[in-house]
Amino acid sequence: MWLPVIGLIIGVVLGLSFEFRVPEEYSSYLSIAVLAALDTIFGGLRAHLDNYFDIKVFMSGFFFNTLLAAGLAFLGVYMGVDLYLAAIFAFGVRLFNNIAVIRRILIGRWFGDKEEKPLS
Amino acid sequence: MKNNRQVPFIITTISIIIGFMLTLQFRSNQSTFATERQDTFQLRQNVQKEMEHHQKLLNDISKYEKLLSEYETSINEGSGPSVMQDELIRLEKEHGFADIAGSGIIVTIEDEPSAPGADRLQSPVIDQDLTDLTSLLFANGAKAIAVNGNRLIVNSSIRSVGEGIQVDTKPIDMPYIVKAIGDPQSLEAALRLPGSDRESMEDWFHFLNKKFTIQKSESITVPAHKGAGGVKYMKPLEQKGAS
Repeated sequence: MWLPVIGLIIGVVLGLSFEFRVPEEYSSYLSIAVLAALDTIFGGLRAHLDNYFDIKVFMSGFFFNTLLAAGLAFLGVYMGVDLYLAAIFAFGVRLFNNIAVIRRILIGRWFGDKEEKPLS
Repeated sequence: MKNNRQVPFIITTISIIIGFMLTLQFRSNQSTFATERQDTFQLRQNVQKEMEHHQKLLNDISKYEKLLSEYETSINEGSGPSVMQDELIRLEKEHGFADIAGSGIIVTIEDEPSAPGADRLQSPVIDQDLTDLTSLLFANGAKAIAVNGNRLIVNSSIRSVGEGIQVDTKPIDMPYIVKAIGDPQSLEAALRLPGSDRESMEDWFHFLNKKFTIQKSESITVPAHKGAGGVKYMKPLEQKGAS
């Protein structure tokens, strides 16, 4: 259970230790990718809490979503359409959805209330 | 699930990646924040620097303006000599030290080829005749006169020396050719019309049994005075204050 936290700390340390800085024109791609990764993480967390977590889906979702988001932003730049907005919108909505579901699940567990509640 | 044991490691790897990406993104944004904060710090330094630069540029401007004014004054000083040069050229022209061309008349006085009449005087032309002629021409607006190619200047002399006539110590012979630059009409009229106390020049030279022809011309060249026009024996006092 602590391994992901340790991994996160390792990643942060790695990122801090590297003197690598993303160029400004690519920073939007990275932000989209980060957003996609966060979405996947929370989606995985939700799936874990809902007990239908599948590592293959999680893995493929993580990489595919990240690359797709970055690729969409890249394509949008070349098409002159702000496609990264679509990615932000989609991932943002999903992020909020997932967090809301996680919150409700956790609240239900915390209060020992097992009955299903409609989406608020 | 078969690979259930690998799951924590995979999740760890992914969390490492996410941590790395998050940090990277954070640092990228952080760096911009840092530069922005630096900007507020640096703004003063930049302002200082730019003000120094501005001051330097102002100094440059004043320096170059000074240089420009120096150049202008030097040009003005340079124009002084050129004005003096123009004045000198004008004076040279006016006073006979430069060739001058223009419209005027050519007066030729030569011996009458035809047989002289018995009643006519055979007296030669004397200096007074030529002096009167040139004086009359000058009085009627001649700007430059040359007698047989000798330009008359302000202190020129036409004198009878022995048998002949000398203009500025240069002997001249018949025929006498007087070139005068000026208004051809008035010059010719001056020579043809009699004065109040004398007969006309034309008549006078006819009376002297000379052939007197007046030729008007639009372009006459009168040569410059050839003699030493400068002051010979006078020297300006070197000492200042000596009056």
